[in-house]
Amino acid sequence: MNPNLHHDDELSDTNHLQSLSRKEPFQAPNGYFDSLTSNIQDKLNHQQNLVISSVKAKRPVFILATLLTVCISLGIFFFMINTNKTHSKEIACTYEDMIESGYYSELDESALTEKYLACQPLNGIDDKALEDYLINNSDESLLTNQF
Amino acid sequence: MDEYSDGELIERFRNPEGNNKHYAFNLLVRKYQQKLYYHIRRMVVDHDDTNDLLQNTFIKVWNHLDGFREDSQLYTWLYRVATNECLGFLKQKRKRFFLPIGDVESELSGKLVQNEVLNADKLELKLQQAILSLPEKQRIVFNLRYYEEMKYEEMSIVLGTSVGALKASYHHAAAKVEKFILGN
Repeated sequence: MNPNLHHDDELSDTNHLQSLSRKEPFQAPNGYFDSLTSNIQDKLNHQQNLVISSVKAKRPVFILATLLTVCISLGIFFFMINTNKTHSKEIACTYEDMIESGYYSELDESALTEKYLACQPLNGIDDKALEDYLINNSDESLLTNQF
Repeated sequence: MDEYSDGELIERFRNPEGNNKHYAFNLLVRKYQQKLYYHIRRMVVDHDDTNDLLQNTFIKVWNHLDGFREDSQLYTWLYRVATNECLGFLKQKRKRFFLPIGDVESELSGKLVQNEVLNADKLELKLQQAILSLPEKQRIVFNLRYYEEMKYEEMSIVLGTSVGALKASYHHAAAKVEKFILGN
């Protein structure tokens, strides 16, 4: 089927439209199409140069941003290391460190002595019995050497 | 100049021998420049605006042709890009000057009367004014069908509208144009 025939059928009830020629109503300026390809190529080159120059122009910003990121990362890294060191020092605290820190000066000494005596296995044995035990069970020569 | 098929042009553009990508693109521009020029010109009337929009259309084609999936024909894709450029331009114009749709059309109609390069007698000038009185999308449908005799199936790809809706749109547009001519 001829598509134009079909097209004319569509316009069957529009007589004026049918009577008009379908020639192009507009006209391009002389030589316009001859120079269009070169104009487009110029625009494309300009676009590519713009992209390159914008990257170049932004280079200092990129460098600054990178430096800033590196500084912040290093800062966080060293902060984390120091925090870990402090933490492990607390765990490795020795008896001497505790004495130096004065922690023991805050303890109630009399209460500690009472507790200590209460825990002694010899508690309740009188001095006479203890003396007799030592005389009967210790080596004399050893005692002489001791004194 | 030998005219290459669309497939050959795409192939040459994507796989250029040496530095012939620009050459392949120029062939494509030469093949479609006139069709797209008049398609845009009928929408925006003014030559300078048409020139800007046509160049932008081809620059978009350059930027996206590598990613063109060939689901549709190159020809319909080019018309789609050009049509979107026109619609974007007219929308921007309305927004920039806070104009209602009718004012933009009357501005275009005014340009039409001043236009010295219009190839038209009085009746054809009336026809152009009648076409400009149509809503934008209806105008595109009318132009593509009346002047370019584009098939509805192809138009459907260009405009993303069903064939039935396009047929109805063209019928209404033709009736409005006829009425406008008779009324004036």
